[in-house]
Amino acid sequence: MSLTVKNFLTVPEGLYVLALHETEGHAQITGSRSFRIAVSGAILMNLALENRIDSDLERIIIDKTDPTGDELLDMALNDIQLGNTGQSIQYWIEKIAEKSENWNDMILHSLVKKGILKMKKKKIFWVFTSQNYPVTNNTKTKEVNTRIRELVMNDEIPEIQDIVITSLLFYSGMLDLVLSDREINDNINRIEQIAKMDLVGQSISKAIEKTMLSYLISKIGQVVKGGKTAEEKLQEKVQENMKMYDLKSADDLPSWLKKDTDQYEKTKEFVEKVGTADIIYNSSTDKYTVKRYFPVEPPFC
Amino acid sequence: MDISKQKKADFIIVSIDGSLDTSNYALLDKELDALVSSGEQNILIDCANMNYISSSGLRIFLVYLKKIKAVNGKMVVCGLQNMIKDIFSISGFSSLFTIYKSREEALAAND
Repeated sequence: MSLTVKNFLTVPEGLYVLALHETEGHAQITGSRSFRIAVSGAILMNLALENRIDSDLERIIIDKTDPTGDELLDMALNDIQLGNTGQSIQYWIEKIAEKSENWNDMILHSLVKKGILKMKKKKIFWVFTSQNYPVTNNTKTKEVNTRIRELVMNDEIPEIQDIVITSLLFYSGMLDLVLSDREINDNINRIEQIAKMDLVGQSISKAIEKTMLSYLISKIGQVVKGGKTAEEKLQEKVQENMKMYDLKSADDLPSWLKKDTDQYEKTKEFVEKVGTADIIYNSSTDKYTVKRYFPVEPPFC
Repeated sequence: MDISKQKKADFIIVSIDGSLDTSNYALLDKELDALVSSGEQNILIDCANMNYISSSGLRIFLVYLKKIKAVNGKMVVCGLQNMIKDIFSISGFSSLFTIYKSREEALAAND
């Protein structure tokens, strides 16, 4: 597959391309907290693919110490080598994410250099200059879309690289960059099966949940001043689903979206906890997952 | 980690003794590669004495499951210790592999 150093794009670069393709090049998305956590996880996953680090349920272990040849990956590898040994995957995801100021420009410029993005400067209100990064070479995005779609819709044993990208997108709430809502809902068992095969991926969701929790606490004031309640967000989700599956009556909804059921109350609790109703429910495992932590629409043009 | 091999019925039994981790996953990779290259299609990994596995070890299991399935062979595991069983379950590997309690059970089931 296409997302390793040897194959031209690194995993973090691949993630940038997918996100920027969706936002038509508006790089604001890359500043969001959950995106930074996802990129940090992508860096660790890439180091694991390159056999520089290994992990178990508890910690990251250094494998090979020679540089990968990629500036960003080597910066992270160096930090891990110099850092405390035996720290957890989640610790390193958060630690590397703290340095996002350093690597945001590094990744964007690397992609421009590789001919995947181009940099476009634009004046807003004749005064401010905004930088845009439209995707000029779309081949990689298409390739990833096709691979993931094929993988989740059959039961073949996945390649390591496919596991990495599926796990990364699933646990960072960005799978809808490559699959439609309906494809995600209809194949959620298979998606979860693949995603959990990567232990770094599993830690990404924990790190994002932690960072979202502190973000939500800081936003409580806004909610009190009139932000949407969990119930309101959930009702919007219900309407979306009725439309997507062309349902005539609310009785046809699955129980997790059907009002006055115990499962609906559980759904509401989860929405309250994570602050978004952009979620998926897997009835076989009785698990909720966030599908999308942040909007990807261009903020303004 | 020590690896030993034994032919029994249609299976090559590969026994892993000790920790399968960063320092030695390449050794298992090499052993399994040699078996697959020599045309072995049915491999039983006996993990009764394996007390640790890291992600790189799991990755080797996955890579060879895919290779063996591609030639219509079988790769099954047996004798997982509780801690390893937990790792298989958390990482979803238990849904990919057929897991037996012992090598006897594995051989009898695939007779």
